[in-house]
Amino acid sequence: MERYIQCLQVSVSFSGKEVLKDITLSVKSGQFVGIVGPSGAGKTTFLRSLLGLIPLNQGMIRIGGKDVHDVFPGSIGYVPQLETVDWNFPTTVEQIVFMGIRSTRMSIPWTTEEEKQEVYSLLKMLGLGKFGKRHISELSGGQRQRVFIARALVGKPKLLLLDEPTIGLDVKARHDIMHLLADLNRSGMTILLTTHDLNSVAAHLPWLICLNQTLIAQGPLDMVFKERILSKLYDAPLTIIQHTGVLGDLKLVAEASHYPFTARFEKV
Amino acid sequence: MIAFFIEPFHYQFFVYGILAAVFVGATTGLLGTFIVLRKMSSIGHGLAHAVFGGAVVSYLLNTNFYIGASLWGFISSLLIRRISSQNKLGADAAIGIVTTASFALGVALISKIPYFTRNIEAALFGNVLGVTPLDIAVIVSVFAITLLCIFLFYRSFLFLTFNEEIARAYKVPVEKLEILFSLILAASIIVSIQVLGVTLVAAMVVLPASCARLLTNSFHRMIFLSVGIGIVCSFAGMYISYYLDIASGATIVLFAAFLFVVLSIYCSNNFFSIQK
Repeated sequence: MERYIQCLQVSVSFSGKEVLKDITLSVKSGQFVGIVGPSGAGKTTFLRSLLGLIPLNQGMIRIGGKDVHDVFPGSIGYVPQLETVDWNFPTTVEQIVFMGIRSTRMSIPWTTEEEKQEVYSLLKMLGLGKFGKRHISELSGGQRQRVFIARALVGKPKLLLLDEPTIGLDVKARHDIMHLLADLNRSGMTILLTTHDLNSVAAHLPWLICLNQTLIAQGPLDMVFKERILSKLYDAPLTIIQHTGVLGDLKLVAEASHYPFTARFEKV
Repeated sequence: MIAFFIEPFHYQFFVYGILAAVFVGATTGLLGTFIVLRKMSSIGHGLAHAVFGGAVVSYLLNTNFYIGASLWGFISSLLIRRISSQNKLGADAAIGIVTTASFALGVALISKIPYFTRNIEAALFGNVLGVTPLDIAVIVSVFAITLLCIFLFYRSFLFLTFNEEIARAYKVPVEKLEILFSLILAASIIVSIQVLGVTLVAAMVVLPASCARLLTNSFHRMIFLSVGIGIVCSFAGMYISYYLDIASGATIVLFAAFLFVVLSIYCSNNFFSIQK
């Protein structure tokens, strides 16, 4: 597989404080990658750097062989953290998805029949066909996330970046989103997502990048889910539990006991 | 009844006045949608005050009011954007700093010109009855340019208004759009000052769009409604002003505020039951 994303000695700083330091990594075409790390580790900043939204202090990012600033609009799909969205904004599901179309240049304001077909085929694919005319605030968390994935898929991107796509979702919605992303990945799309959720999300991904301002580790789950690496990443004692069951071998991460809560359990 | 509507049109000042007011209502209604949804309602108030400084300076330099004030308003809006983009200060603080400083400059200069008192009253509270055919031509031109810009860049402006971060991620030319919007906003505020005055322009930027937001959950419908409400308020305000002999700018704003109260009560009762 070709190297689709190449980051070479990337450093980013805000107000004189270095947020990303000397990140060198590559992601192959068609990979499904999770970026894990504690709050403030620079995960969102890294995604924004891949979108060309943040000036680099040093280093270089190339996507599909092109400098990140020369990448064609729409060839990278982006799903932001949903908490950045104003749910009271007067817009319907279909209008959100329409927003990805011809918004970088002068254009007629109304949508063409061809655009409507494209949008509704995406909505149907994501199980949102009957929600097109609904206001965005009327949807559940999982449905909202799927709307933004539909929005990101307009333009048929080769790369999909998602910032905490499962945050705040219940088990069923999280399961649906992860399966949807797995399906997209199987169709050849390269996917990078950030997550806080080690057990429910990261533990199921084929490749992980551990980021805490610098690159701590990267590799398949077996290589990265080690106590030494995760404890260094989170600067906290973490234990890996090997679980063997009907689903196969699973590696789970457990936090160290939190006194005094543990003591209370012991009494019970 | 027909005489009631026709009578004011016997006077040329009313014909000019209502034409100017209607186009100002449409322009502020159109731009107000974007301003209200971006939670920058104080920009109208601030820019109107900033432009006041520019108006005084252009008067002192003996240059055309529209050119001097437009330039001043445009620079002010760029300064606001520059300060607020530096993260430490929000847009509200930036608006407060730039516009009050500009307004204070205008007041300071006026204090040195004793014969300026009549003009300052017109600038602060509007003088719709003093509208000339040239003023109408300028107001209509600004409305047409604003309409054209929104028409051509509707999709980009919608994306930017919805979420600047996502718009940037999709390479929407945010900086260029902000400059374009600052230009048409500054021009719209300046032409509105003649009708509404510095102190009341902000109300007509915010009120029609706020009324429209209560009535719909659709962005494009909100734009049409906001423009329509801006026109209706200006029209009704001019009539009420004529028959009750009250200042026109104040009457237009009071009518819009009254409409907002009525719609708020109506929508609070029906908010969850009507299909918007």
